[in-house]
Amino acid sequence: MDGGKFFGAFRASSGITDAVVLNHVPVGCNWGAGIFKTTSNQFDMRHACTVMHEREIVFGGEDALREALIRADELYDTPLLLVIAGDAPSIIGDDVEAVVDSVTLDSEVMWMEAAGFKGSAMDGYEEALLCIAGLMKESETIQDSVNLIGFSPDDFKVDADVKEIRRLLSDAGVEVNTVISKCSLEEFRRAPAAELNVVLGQGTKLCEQMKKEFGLPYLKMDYPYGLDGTSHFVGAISDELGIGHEPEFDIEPFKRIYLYLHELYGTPVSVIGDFHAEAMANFLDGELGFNVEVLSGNEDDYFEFEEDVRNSNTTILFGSSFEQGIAETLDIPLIRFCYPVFDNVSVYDCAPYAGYRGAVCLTEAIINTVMSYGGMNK
Amino acid sequence: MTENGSGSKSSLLMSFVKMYGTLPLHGITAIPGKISGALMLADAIEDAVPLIHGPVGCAFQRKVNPFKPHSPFYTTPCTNMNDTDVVYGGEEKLEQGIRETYERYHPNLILVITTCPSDLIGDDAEAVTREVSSEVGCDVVYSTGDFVGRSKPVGYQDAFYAITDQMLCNGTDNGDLKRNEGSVNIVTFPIHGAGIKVAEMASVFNDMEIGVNKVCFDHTRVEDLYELPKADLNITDYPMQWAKLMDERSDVGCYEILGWGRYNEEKDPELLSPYGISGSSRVFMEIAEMMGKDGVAEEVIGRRRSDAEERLSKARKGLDGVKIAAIGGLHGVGLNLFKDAGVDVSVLICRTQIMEGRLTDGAINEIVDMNMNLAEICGFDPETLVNPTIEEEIKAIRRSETDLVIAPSTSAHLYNREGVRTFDPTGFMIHHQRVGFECPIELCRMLKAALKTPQRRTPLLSMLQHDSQMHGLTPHWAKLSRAFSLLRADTIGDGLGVEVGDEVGAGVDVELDVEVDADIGRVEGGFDR
Repeated sequence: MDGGKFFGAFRASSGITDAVVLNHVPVGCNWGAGIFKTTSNQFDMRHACTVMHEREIVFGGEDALREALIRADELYDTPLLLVIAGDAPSIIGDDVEAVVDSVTLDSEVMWMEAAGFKGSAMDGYEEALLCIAGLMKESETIQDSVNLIGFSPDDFKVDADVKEIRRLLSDAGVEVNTVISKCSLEEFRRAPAAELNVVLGQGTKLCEQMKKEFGLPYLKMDYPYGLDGTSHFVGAISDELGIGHEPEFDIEPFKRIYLYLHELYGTPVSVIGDFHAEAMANFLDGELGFNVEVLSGNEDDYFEFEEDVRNSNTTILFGSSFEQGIAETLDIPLIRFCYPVFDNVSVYDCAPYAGYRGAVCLTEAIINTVMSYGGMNK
Repeated sequence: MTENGSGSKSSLLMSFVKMYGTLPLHGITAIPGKISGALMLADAIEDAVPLIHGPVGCAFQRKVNPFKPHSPFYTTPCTNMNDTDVVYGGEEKLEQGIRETYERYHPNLILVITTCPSDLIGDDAEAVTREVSSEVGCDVVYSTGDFVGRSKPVGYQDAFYAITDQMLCNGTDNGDLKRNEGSVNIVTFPIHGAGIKVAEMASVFNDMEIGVNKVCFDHTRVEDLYELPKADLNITDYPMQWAKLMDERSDVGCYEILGWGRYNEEKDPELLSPYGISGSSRVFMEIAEMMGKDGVAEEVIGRRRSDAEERLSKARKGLDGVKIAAIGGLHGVGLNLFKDAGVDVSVLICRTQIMEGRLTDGAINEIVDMNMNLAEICGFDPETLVNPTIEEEIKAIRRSETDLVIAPSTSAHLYNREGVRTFDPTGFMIHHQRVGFECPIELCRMLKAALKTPQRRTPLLSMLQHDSQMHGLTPHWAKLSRAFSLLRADTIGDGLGVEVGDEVGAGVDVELDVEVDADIGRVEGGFDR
């Protein structure tokens, strides 16, 4: 299920870790933006709201926005205030730009329109990054360095995954310059210093823009799930940079549970999610030997997905917390790997799902979920 | 669930349900909005399906149930309004959405919930539902949030009003309804587990020769809703606009357990304290009088009360001389329940910071005074602390040799690390606090269990810095809370001219610390109505 443009813009914006996002919306949208972050990092809530009310709908929300900008600037010590105008101000035609131009604040202010009905979450993500791309500055190139683009601060396992990817690239002699969107404003500004942009699923428009403006090439890669996926990921980046690194992985952890891998081989599963889904399906199919019966993207019809799953032999479902319903209906386990996850937490940053270590953690999670599912009663 | 909540399933649910109480997104740093309240009602009607008329983002985020964040609303079809619909109108999408929802789910009720975009562009939800409802095999009702003014929680109130207005008492087939003479409906908020909480009340009514027509929400279906107008009286926790409408149109009286309306006139704090032996006796008698059963009720209440008091005197053993620090406010464990339990309230803590953005100083002072008056009526003489720091609280607790602090899990660690035991009121309030004579006996049991918990703990939480005044929040979240409160007050003027009578009478939360019902009150309108 797609979240719409507002959520995409919010996720990209809130990934600037020292910025504050000011949602110019009624309370409900602001609540939604917050709720999905409460399971990822509760110390990293950095958003405020203009609390549009009926009065603003009738008379315009510009005064409320101006007041909120001034208040937010007073309350937060932040270098950047990012204003996201949602559905209501878009319909009533608030002149956000004029309001932003009319105030002088300590923080830099950028704004974007992201009415939910104007596009998909990916559209919102792409446009938000393009909006703040103007803050980037020409920097001296750091040899053998890359930017990783496509992350969001509320992705499930994001801290652990980024840490693992950094480790793998470091082993290959590649430095990670900036992770977008999960970086400080200064890191974002210095993104053009990288030698290569690596885009994972979303952020292609930003890459195009950076290519045009800074001459920075980019590489589109699948999310690095599994041993093969990771080897391909590291190998391709290494080749692109001319390093020629041959990645190595340790098969030892898999040996310890090989009997279970035997048992699970051929398990029919279904996968749904954003751009992570296809890479996950490749790992499940190609490495664990599962039969991926249904693979669906967020942009696809959800009812069709449910119907296809019901009509399949699926015994494990891979998706987000939204798939609780169908998993419960079919009485099958759900492995959560994809946004939004609001019924599991992931705080240990050494238990990734991405990379070589991620392949082990993921396999462990799958086996444990299956073995503990339902106990003796099922 | 088992009485002490020790059953494996109930323990699990209890801890999960408590999660929403700790979630500071309920009016403290954000507000869920009207759609959540309407969805709460749709979710509580087993054979109803909501249809969100708006862009996909509205359905996306609303899948999360604010009261059970671990458990989404599974079925939330959406009309998926796009840019074109916003320009040319979304009525065709709504029409199509109603038909598809019926074809896909075959519910007995489709509750159309409009959103900011569809409200703003002026889609005529009424005309569409009227037109399409004859083509689908179920009731179709629409809720915009406009039916109930500022009665909160708007989404819940509005959706229930819409069902009453458009379905139950719409003046078409309702005239032939055969009354269930001498019966009442007991209707509580869906998250309260009505079936369990009202069992004793129903039993007392039975003894008083008052029938129970329907209990909501307890596996409630549309056919049950249609039975509501058969009763003589609707009993609700708070003032409900739907109940007033049903009174007007179908002559079903209404009784509010929390007598906020009457409090405004009489300023009697006991009217806001319907629990415990005396509070319950009063409520039962008032209902009996409305039902013309006061004669038989006197004997029943006396007998039940006497029986409960006898068992209470046994349950109280071990609590004599126990001193507690209670939290003041409009919600929370009622002071008269502590009186029944035989404990002494030695410290009364009132926290008003969260109210400051929404209520006048006069209103806040009245709430504090009301608590002090109630303490006096109950025979307590506590040291009253208004907005104390944790250090000030600890000093007062030590000075008065208080044994137990009534503290939710969000702040219990602050006392535990100082060697003070705590009692978490949330579970009690959700699962036990109710009108009836058994409730104080259960409280005695739970207080005694709390007195056996370790006196000193040094949990991980005590290593985190918490705000000096909003104890349940880290300084960062407290800042978010203050920012939200400030921006909200500036924008909608909540803080201006709002008196206790207005807000409380409207069912609004005026919470101090952990108040389950206050959380419900915070589910407000899409535009923060």
